[in-house]
Amino acid sequence: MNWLALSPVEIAAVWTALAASALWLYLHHRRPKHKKVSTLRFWASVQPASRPRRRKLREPWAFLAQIVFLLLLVLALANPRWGPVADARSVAIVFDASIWSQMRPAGEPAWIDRESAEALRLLDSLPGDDRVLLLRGERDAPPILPFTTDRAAERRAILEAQPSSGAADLPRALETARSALGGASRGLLAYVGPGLVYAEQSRALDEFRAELESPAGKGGQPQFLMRLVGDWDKVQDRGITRLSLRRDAVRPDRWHILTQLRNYGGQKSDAVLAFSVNGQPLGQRKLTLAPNQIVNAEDELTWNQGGLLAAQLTPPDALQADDRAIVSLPAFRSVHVAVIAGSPSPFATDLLSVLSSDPYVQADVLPPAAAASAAPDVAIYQGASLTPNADFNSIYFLSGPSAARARPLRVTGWNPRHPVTRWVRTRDISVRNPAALKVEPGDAVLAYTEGDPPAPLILAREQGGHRILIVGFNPHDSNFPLESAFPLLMAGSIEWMTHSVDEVADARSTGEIDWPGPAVKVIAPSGKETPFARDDAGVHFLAQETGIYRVASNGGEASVAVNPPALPADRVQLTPTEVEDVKPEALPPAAWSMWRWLVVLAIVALWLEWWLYYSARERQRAAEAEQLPGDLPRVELDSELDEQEERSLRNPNLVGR
Amino acid sequence: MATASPLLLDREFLKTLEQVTLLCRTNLSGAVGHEHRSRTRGPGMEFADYRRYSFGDDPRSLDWSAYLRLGKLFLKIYETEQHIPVRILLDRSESMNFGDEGESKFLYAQRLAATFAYLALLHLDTTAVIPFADRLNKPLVASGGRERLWPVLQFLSEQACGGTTDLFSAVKEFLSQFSTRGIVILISDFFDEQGCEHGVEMLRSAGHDFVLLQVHSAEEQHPAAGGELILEDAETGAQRTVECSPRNAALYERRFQEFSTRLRRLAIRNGGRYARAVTNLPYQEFVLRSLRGGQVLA
Repeated sequence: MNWLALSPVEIAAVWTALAASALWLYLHHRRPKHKKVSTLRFWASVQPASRPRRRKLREPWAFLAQIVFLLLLVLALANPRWGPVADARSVAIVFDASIWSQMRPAGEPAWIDRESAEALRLLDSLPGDDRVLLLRGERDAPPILPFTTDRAAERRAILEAQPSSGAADLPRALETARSALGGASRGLLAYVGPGLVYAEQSRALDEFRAELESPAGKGGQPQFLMRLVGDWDKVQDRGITRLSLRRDAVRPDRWHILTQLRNYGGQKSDAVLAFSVNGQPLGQRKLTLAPNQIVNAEDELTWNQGGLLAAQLTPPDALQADDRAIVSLPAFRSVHVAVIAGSPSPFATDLLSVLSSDPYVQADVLPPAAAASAAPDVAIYQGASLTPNADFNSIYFLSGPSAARARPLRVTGWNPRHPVTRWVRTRDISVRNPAALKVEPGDAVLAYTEGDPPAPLILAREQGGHRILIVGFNPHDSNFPLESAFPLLMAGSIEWMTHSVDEVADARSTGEIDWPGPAVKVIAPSGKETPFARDDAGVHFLAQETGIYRVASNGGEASVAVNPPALPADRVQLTPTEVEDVKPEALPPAAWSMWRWLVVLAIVALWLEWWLYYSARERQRAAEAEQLPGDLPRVELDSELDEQEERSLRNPNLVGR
Repeated sequence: MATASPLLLDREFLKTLEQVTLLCRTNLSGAVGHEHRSRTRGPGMEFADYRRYSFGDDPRSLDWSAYLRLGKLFLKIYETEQHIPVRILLDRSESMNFGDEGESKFLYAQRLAATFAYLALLHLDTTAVIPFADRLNKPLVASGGRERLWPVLQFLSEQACGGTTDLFSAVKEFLSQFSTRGIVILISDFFDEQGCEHGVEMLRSAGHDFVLLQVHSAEEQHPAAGGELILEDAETGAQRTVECSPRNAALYERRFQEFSTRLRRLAIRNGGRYARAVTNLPYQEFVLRSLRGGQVLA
């Protein structure tokens, strides 16, 4: 109990204030009571009350007892302690409710229930003063419960902990727990869970153990205990560890499906892998998985629309969370590219031949008047100047003044970071009569020609909501169209302008998700809103559930398929010290709380004050009584009168009837 | 200001009073034919003595039986029964408006006045109730038997406290209005700043048989020690700040006792009688024990 943590100065201040109040009360003379009497004649001889000019303490010893009482009371409220102050032990429990805790072997309770029972047993073995921190085993997961001594809350938190679909990161969780215990001189670090780690985590865990056991850190290191649940040798589980798609290079509506499966158990497993898109079955295949084998299954799918591709393993096993995986299929749409030319020209003919090799492009030649009504996705122009306001995403081939003896200029640099020229590496290209391009703010220079300084040859510009590629030479004045890089340049330009083609669709695993794009809300598959952080590249959030996360932004909503990861499958080998019981606390002698005795002493002082006060009053009254005038004359007078009265009673003159 | 109920006396007490007689001095001369005995010998019902017959005596008073035994004429002498007025002077000054537990001195005095008036009416005497403070108020004269008690009670209940005590002026005025000697019951606390001596001596000089009934409350006799007090005189309004310590309270009691003693001595030395009533004592007990056991009632 620590009602007021008063410093010595505060104690002195409070006590002084209270003592001053007590002193004022002791010096205070009450205002005399007003009373009406029948006569004042008998008070005439009484000495009138006089107020002393200087007030005097009437009962100094009682006052002294009073201020001692106040001092003891203030000290009791401040609750001083005698001796060293001992903090309670800090305990961090890593409660591994990762995906393996969803295991439900046939005829046995789920691993999460066994973990809860084990964690409660551990909790019950702790002294009541120990502060307990409950952490999850997954990477970057928030704590289940911060440090508290509220055992009821801790039990409730353990029982209500739900298993996630993420993989545990034991070394990181244990390191986090040890950091939380860092400030405490004594501590206990405990892990409760299946104890399954990846190979690289196993090494990190060994290092962690070594640090705990090192002589340098032994003094301040907490006791480390591990409580493993589940019989790993009897585990029968096979699951999908990866599901990815790749678009066919020739047929845009064809997808190659790569499914990776793993048998985590020690026995052979037969399974059926079935695919469906938007709930529509597409096909299935039988697989046989040897013990601990990883199998890659390749399939093909023809699908020209968007949707969700689901892979399902049947029959279900003890861990159903990794029996299913999904991935988003991007919709395919061909890009309309128009070469704007007034009449058939070699430029248009050559360009069409290049564009027609791209299966994702539908190219044609349009006269300038028809361009507006056709509304192509990309328009390609040839000329000497730019259109002031482009109505479409455009590619301009500009040429400079022609000179018959112009020396060819070699292209000396390509911008590898821009998506248009990402794959263009050639240095064997030269151009004649290049246009003098003016680089405006916001422009990206994609290629340079030789010179000092190098002159920009290709620019990428964003203007009026459209993207423009400015090529500063005529293809016929260059050997570039003859190079294989030219189709790459055109394909990269069209992809940069339209984002029409997603060649790869890959499912993401639970854990940290980086989503490239804006977001105002992230909704988990369970419907709960997921917290996220923004950075320059997009948003970052922690996905602990499998299914479709919806990322909502002002421009619409995107879906992110999240699947279980490849699960850790190395069982931790326990050391003898890790299976010990909780060490009894070697508590230093606790500080003695003095408030109870101070209260007792305060009561004694209060009683003493009352006793002194009233005994002094009684003594004063007794002294006054002793000073009373004697009553001898009155006795004599009364005797005389009584005799006269007796005589008059015998007066025969008094008669009655 | 206390206003008493007309039912100042209860019926049981009135019935008890029928066996009580108001004592008076025998040398008072009043109208013959009433119930008060007197020193005067004459026609009456009560035998007083024998004396030798002398010429001129009424032969109807001769005791012929004594003559037959002794051969001498003796005359039987009877006491003459007289009519003696009973005057009750009731102090209604402001100082009477104090008392214990709701029974003020004035109410107590009203009950005593009613008791004496009833005793007078019971014996067919004339009674007069005369309230006073610094001067005499309009009196009520009643006679004709016990049936006339009701107007007396009504009159008493209409009285209220007020004014200062001036016993000398009141007695002086009383004597000018009531010249016939009689019994005077003076009921008061006698808190007269001028003193009571002159008033009492004037009663004595006028030949009245007077009784001084001092009425006071218990607190007036034994004030409680209560620290510092500002006391205000109810009659004069004068104030005095005193320390009501035990010592001063004892001194006060001493002064009060001396005052009562002087008052009793004053009454006795002037041939009167004295009684002291404390308001915490029931008035019935005071009348039937204190007054009956003393010189006032028989």
